[in-house]
Amino acid sequence: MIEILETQPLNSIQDLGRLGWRCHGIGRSGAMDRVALAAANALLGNEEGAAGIEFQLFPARLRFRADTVFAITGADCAPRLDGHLLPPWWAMAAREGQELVLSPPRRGLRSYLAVAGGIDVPLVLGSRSTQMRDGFGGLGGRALAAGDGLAALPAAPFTMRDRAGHGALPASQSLAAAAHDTARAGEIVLRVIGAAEYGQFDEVSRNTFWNAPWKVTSQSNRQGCRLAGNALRRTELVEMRSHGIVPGVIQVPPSGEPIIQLADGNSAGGYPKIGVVIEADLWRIAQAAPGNVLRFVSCTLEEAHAAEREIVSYLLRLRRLADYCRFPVSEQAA
Amino acid sequence: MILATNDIAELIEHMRGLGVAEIEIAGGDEMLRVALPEAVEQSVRTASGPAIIAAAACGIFFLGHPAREVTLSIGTRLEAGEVVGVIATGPLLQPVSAPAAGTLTRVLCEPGQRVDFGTPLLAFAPLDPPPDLRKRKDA
Repeated sequence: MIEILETQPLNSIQDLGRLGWRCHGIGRSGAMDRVALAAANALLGNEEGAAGIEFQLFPARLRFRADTVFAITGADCAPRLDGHLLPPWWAMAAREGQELVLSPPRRGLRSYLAVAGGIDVPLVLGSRSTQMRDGFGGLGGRALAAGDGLAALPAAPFTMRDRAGHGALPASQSLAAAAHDTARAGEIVLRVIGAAEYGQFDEVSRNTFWNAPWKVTSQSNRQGCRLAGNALRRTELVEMRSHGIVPGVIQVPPSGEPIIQLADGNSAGGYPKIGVVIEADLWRIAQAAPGNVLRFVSCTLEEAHAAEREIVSYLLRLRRLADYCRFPVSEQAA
Repeated sequence: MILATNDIAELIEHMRGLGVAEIEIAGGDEMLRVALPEAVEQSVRTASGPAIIAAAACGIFFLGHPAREVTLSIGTRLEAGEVVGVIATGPLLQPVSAPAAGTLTRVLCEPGQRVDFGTPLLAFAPLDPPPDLRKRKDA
C-alpha cells in the first residue's frame, strides 16, 4: 500500500494502454514512455503491462504503508528513500513507513514508479490506464492527489539477491538512436515514415521537414507535442474529412507547424499528415522537454520493425537477467 | 570468437542464476569453456587498514552510475549499504555497495573496465567500530 503525501497535477496511473477501442473514439492512453514502464516491470518480474505511476510534474512524495519492492525508471528524478539517494532505473525493497521523494529531473520529463504485482485499480475496457479527458480508468479517471492510497495486486513474495537492489541500463544508453546528418549533440532524432499527404507538401517544405530543427514548445502534453519551426506548406489545399489517427502521426495544421499526436491524442483528425514517428521512438518524445530540439529522419517499415525488435530484445534480456536477482521467499527459507 | 566478451559476461550471469557451474560451447574449430569460481566474498576486511570492495558479478564496472555525473572522489564518506558503483552485465546493473560506513580511499579499477568475480574495485577505510564493540575487543 502506498500513500501519496504530495503530488502535482497530471501524475496518473498508467499501463501500456487501452488497445482496440479506437473505432469507438477511445484513444490509447497508457505510459508515454512505455519502455521505461516495461523496464520497471521487468526489474520486478511483473507482467510487462502491469500498471504503475507516471510522474510528469514534481516534486512528489509518497509513503509505503507496507513492505514493498518497487522500481523507478524514466527521467532521473533523484529518488530518495528516507533521504538516501537511489540510482536511476533502480529496484529495491522499501520497509513499511519509509518515504520516497521524487525531485524535478534535470534531463527528461517523465518518471515511472512500479511496485511488485502492479498497482491495483480496476480494469476498464482492458486497461488500468487513466483516461483523463473522458474521466475513466486509473484511479476514478483522475490524476493522483495527496491523500490517495494505492494498493498493489498480490505478487509471490521474494527477496533481493543484493539488499542494495538492482537496476537497468537506461533505455537511452541501451537503444541506439538513429543518426541524422545535421543534428547537434543533445538533439533528439526520431525515425519517421512518410504519411498519406506527404506528397502534397511543396519541395521546400519537405526538405525543411527532414533537415530543419524542430523545437518542442510548452504547449506539449500527453495529447500531443506541438513543434516550432519553419512553416510547412502544401502545394494545393485539399479539404479532408476526419479520419482515424494513431499516436505518432505528425499533423500539419494551417499554421504550418507540426503536431505529433501522442498517447492521449485524438482518435480521429482532419489535418494533413506529413509523416508518422515510428512506435519504437515514441518514448523518446515522452522525455523531450519544452525547448528540446527534435530532428526527423526517414525510415523504412523494415527499419521500424527492427527498431521495435531491439526494444523487445532489451526488455527480454533485462527480464531474464533480473529474474536471477530475486529469490522467492519460500525457496530461500527451505 | 564464438561469443563476444560482453555476451560471455551475460552467459556467466545465466549460469550463475541457473546454477550451472561449467559450460562448453563448440562451434567450427573454436571451443569456449566457462567455469564459475566458488562463492566470492564481495568485501574483504583485513585486520587493520582499508577494506576492499570486490566485484560480485562479471561485467563492466562503473563508478557511481552510467547515467549520472560521478560525484564520488577519494575521501567521500560512504554510508553502510550505499551504492557506490554498478556492474553492467548486458542491460542489467548490479550494485557495488559499501559493506559498512567509511571513507573511500582508493579506486582500484578503472571505470569502464571489464571486471570478473572478485576483481578489487574500491578500497575504503571503515569508520571506527562503535564503542561497545571496541570495549569487547579490549576486554
